[in-house]
Amino acid sequence: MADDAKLRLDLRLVPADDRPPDPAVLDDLVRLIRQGVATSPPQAPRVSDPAAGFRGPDDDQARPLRDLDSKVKHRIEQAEADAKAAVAKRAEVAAQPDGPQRLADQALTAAGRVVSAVQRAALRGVAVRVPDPPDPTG
Amino acid sequence: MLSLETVRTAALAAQPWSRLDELVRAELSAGRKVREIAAEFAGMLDDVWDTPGLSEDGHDAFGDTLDKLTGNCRSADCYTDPPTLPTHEEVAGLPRWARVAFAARCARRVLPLYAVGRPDAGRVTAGQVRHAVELAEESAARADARSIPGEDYIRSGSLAYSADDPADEAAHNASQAAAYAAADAADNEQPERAFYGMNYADDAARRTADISPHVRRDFDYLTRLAGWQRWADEDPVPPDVFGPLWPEGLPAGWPADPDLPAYAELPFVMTVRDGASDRTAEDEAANLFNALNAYYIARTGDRLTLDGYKALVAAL
Repeated sequence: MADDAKLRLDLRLVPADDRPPDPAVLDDLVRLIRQGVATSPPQAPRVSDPAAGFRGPDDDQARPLRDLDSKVKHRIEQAEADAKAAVAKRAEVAAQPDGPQRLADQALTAAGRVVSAVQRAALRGVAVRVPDPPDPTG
Repeated sequence: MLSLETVRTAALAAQPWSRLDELVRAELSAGRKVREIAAEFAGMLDDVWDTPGLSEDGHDAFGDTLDKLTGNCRSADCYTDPPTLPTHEEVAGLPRWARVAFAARCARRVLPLYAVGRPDAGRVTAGQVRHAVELAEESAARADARSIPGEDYIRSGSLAYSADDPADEAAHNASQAAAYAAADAADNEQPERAFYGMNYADDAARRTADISPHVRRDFDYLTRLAGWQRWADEDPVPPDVFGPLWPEGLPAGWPADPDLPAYAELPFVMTVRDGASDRTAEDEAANLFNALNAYYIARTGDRLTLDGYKALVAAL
């Protein structure tokens, strides 16, 4: 038996600093999210969309939702600041003689973390999904 | 066999740890086992340490390398034998639809090699080969045995190939991998089909890259998943359980997927169960963002930023 969702968050990530997107890596991220969903523990609560769908908050809901929005964005801003250090660290690793192998190992570990993050969210009652892919013909 | 002279030269080098590591990895790549190399190193221990002019670093590097060969180190640092393809018994031991999903996965991995080897298609097009793989994947995802239309056509239509043309031979093997994956989804279950398909996929890739570590990783992961989720023969297995084909990036020289979706951004949706707290929603959004960003950084050296955010509540 699935529980109805009370809240829906739509997020969109793009490369920072106007860097060009890497479609292959973005596709991998989509697949990792789907892998996390497909392999979530059987005991994870199922979350279904409410029959009437979702809408913008009314007056009573607006303030607490603004509080949540503010907190989520603040946490992500903090994470983005930390990510700058990760970018610099990666550049150092890439410059090492064994850089390619170490980066490949790091990518594999990071892939596992995405799957685990989706599974963890599922266990805590937060379902993650990705919309259908764009047309490959553009 | 490693000669004493070769090992001494590495130990006397300016970067003895790196040189000795290269020696060991070259031996492993040539198919030798860790225990064989360890026995050789152990046998020349006294001779290497008595090498005239050996520095303290060279002395320590040899000792550290021997430790990594004999398992006397952190598990992550120890040398291990290169992965091998699953055996016939191992593949046959998978639950029914996990086996079909595995065969389809092996075939999908080498699909791009078909179009490269046979750009003019001939009797069997790249689209037909891909369709066979997709039908095998769907069959496993629905736990629904079916006859894949054209499976025999694909198998017979691509039997002729030019042994002098490595790309054409690879294309032939890739099509056979797809045909066997499709055959494994058919009504008349024969477990060896998945094993044959896996080997055809390995043969298809052979001149471009060694895919056996990836195939082994898929198989071991599927086996763990089957045990964890207690799959029986009637349980469906969708292709999504495997994730990306190349999470570390494409091997050198491997053709890109021509059907890659044209992603320029990463949209995703999080729905929060009634009863879960706002703090939970906040924590999971931040945790997922961190994980997504870490992977993107690891692969590209660039980071992701939040470009769009919208919160909606359940309509009543």
